[in-house]
Amino acid sequence: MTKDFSVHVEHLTRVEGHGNITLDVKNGTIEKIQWSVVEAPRFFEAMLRGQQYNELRAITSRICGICSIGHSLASLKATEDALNVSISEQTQLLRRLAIHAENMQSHILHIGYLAAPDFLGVGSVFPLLASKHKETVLKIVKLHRLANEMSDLICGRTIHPIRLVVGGFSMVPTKKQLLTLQKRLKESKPVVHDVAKILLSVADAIPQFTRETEYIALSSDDEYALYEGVLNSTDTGRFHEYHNYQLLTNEYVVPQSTAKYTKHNRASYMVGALARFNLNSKQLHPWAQDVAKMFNLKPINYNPFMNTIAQLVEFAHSIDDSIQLIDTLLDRGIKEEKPTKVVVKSGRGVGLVEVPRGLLIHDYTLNSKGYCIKANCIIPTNQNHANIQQDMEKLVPEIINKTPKEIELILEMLVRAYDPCISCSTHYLDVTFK
Amino acid sequence: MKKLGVIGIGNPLRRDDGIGIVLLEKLKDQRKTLPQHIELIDGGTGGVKLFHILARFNHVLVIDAVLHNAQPGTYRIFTEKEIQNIDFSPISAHEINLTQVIELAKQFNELPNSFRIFGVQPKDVSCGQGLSPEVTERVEMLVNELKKEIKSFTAMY
Repeated sequence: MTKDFSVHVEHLTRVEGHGNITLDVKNGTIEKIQWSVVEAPRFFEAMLRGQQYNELRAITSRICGICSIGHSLASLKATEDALNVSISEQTQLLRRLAIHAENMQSHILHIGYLAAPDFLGVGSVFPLLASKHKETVLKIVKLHRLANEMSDLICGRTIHPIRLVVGGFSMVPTKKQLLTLQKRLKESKPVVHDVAKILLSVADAIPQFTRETEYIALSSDDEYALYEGVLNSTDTGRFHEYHNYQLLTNEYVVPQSTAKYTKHNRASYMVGALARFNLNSKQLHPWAQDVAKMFNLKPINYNPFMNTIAQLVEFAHSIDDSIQLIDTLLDRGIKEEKPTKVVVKSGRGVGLVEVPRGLLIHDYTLNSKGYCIKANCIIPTNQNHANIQQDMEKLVPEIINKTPKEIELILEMLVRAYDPCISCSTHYLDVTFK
Repeated sequence: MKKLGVIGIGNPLRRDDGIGIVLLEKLKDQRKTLPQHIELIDGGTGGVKLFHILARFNHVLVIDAVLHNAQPGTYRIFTEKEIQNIDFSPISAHEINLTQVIELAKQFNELPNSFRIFGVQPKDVSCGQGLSPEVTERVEMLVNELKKEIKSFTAMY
């Protein structure tokens, strides 16, 4: 190809927040490919300084409306680690339910409202409502509503949870409420299956692109790790020293972006549903494994576009695991219990959780009065920036003979496949070809 | 009795963008002086999740920061018909804005029977906690006006 590109698209839609893609092609030669994100100063961490230990969760839950449960849990784990607070088995089980609720609502939001329009060849979810796909959208809305109502029940409200507190829960659901939720989760399984079949029928729209990279996620001997686990890498295996997570994340600054990038064993790594699947797929519930088989998704899958399918697989897992967790809670007998009493002291704590978009780390240092004097938050989306850049560098030469409009769409789809939640970390996205 | 949902929207970590949440908290403090059949909801930076919240109510009053070319801290009531022209929450960090949430609710026939927005002009939406002095000094006035609005709204049904 011997042409120059000059395409400019502002505000790429259907991702959380904004970033920039720049592609310069002159005389058919790629001169520049750059994924850059503009991050405001890391103000959340500055805001945490000077706040008391029991305020940190409430503040960090406001970082993002999508991942407010995940930020809450990472914050609580960091605070409890710093103060040596242990939690009850019931709190553990309820927190696992909370993380499933958020994973479900976030994943189905991405699959249904943000990614599906790409597979079905439209610009957004709105045209789908006026098309033959309206029934599909109705199914997706039904699943999204269930996940939201599950968050409401466990956390007190869907957006910015209130019942999650240091040492436990301020209020717990009743046996009757849990039974109703469990019944609805069971009833939702055929709907999930229908959505999976519809996605399978349009799976040809998923680009066949692969690039070997490193995947990082939490892993556990006991379960498909979301709430609890040790750091794990497809390249280097388990890393047990969670207080030294920096040795794995290695944040660094790049000139094109104010968001910090990360790398470990290679130039980049990926976190998120596909990373978790690649590391822990054997621990998925059998039904979720069946969903993976429908799409021929096997570890290690090196196609980042398959992240959306990994999210669907995790959605199925979260339903079955939640049904099981509710059984365990009811067997033990759900009871009102006060949060563990906190003895304030100085210390440092690190909280690691797997949230919808990947590994989330909160790290707090408290003084002897329990006030935060230092905070560090490592957001999943930031860990994926370098991997998106590396993907683009391999992908663009493979699709360079397509029209600029087709290239633009595939690059947009690539970014969307990562389900970036840039509002957590960054604040701008537009695409520039020149 | 049909229910009215009063939903505050915004991010208190973005100064005046959090006015909807600040006003909602003030209303919660004065809950006893408000009609019983209303629900006060912190919608945060809710995005598409608000769609499911809207579906629960016959009537909705949203409190949000809205750019409407006025003095900081002054408010205007917007009807559902006017929302197409509103520049919602100056932070476009959410995957879907309120206009789109309302459009979605319409498509599913789940839009409340009546819908209004209590829009407050922000001054400062930079990162940080606390409202700007201009908006802060009008908070009490805004709470009183909101209470009047809630009463006039509830009088309709």
